[in-house]
Amino acid sequence: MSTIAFALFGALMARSISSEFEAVPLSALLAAVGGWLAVRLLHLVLVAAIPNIGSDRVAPTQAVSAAMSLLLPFALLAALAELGLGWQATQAFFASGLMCTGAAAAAACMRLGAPALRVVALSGLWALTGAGAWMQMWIALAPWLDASA
Amino acid sequence: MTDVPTMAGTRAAPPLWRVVVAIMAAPGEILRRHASALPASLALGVSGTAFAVFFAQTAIDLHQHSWNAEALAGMAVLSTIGALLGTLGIALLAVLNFVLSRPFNSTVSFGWTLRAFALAYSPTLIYALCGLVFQLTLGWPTTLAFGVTGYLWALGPLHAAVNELCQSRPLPAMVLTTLNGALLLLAWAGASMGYGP
Repeated sequence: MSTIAFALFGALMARSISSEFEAVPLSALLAAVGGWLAVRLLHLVLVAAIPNIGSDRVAPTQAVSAAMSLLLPFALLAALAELGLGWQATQAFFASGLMCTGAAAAAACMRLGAPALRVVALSGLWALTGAGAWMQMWIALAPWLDASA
Repeated sequence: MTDVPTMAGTRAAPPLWRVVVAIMAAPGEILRRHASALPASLALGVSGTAFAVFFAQTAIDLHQHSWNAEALAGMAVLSTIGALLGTLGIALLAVLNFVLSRPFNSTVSFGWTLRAFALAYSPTLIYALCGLVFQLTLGWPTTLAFGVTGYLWALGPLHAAVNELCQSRPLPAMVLTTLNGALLLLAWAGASMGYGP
């Protein structure tokens, strides 16, 4: 579900930076791939923080995936704000969503025995870096999206 | 989820400020453990104050930090709407979610649902108070940066509460969380559009 949310955020960003319709599916695809990689990275980092995890990684994987699915309501509300209310606030919804889902994933790992301070710091760093990288990515892609569409 | 008794008979209520701060880090756990121990009036006080301050922030930004009679009247009206939305609105939202989640055979009580929904807006309160300080001391427009961010942060705790109501079924929990967020976002947008200068 988090991949769908990233794709929706990508489509909304494309709408605000490019006037070409073709840029929307392209941006959604790019955002989905980037988001999937980002979630894998968070998953690896948080699961590695759980002591004595051994080879049973099903429970932590499910816990992190469930927490990350919380990004979807943020994406849907961003769509409501952008398409229904005419606001250009996708970046704010994305950054808040990333912080919130990161915290939820950290809390899920805490329940599985991960040290609280370490996972909260790691997920916070992930969310801050992710929000910054997201903004820079669209700044860099804006001219290319307009030209290629 | 009913109140969990302790040796003293009922679970000791933790200090409200600790619950409010802790909800930002581990909403699900804190709501499960402490929501039923706090009086409903205190919990609704959190959401009521959060929305009143958030709406006051909006009014200050809408009137571009002017303090004439019209701006003050607008702020009083919007803050009152915010306080009503944060108390009666949240109570109605709790009723709606409680009723809609009945098919999932949840064991949580309505009292817990009401308190959990109200306490879910703890991050909104913290962000709104911080935003108001920056707004009043430095003159920054903080409605989007602090107000909306705090409102969005509340989706995490709200989802944790809804998850309990839906017995951890992901799809209904997601739909209800989105519905709750959309209803309050539209209420805030409608109120702020109607009371601008």
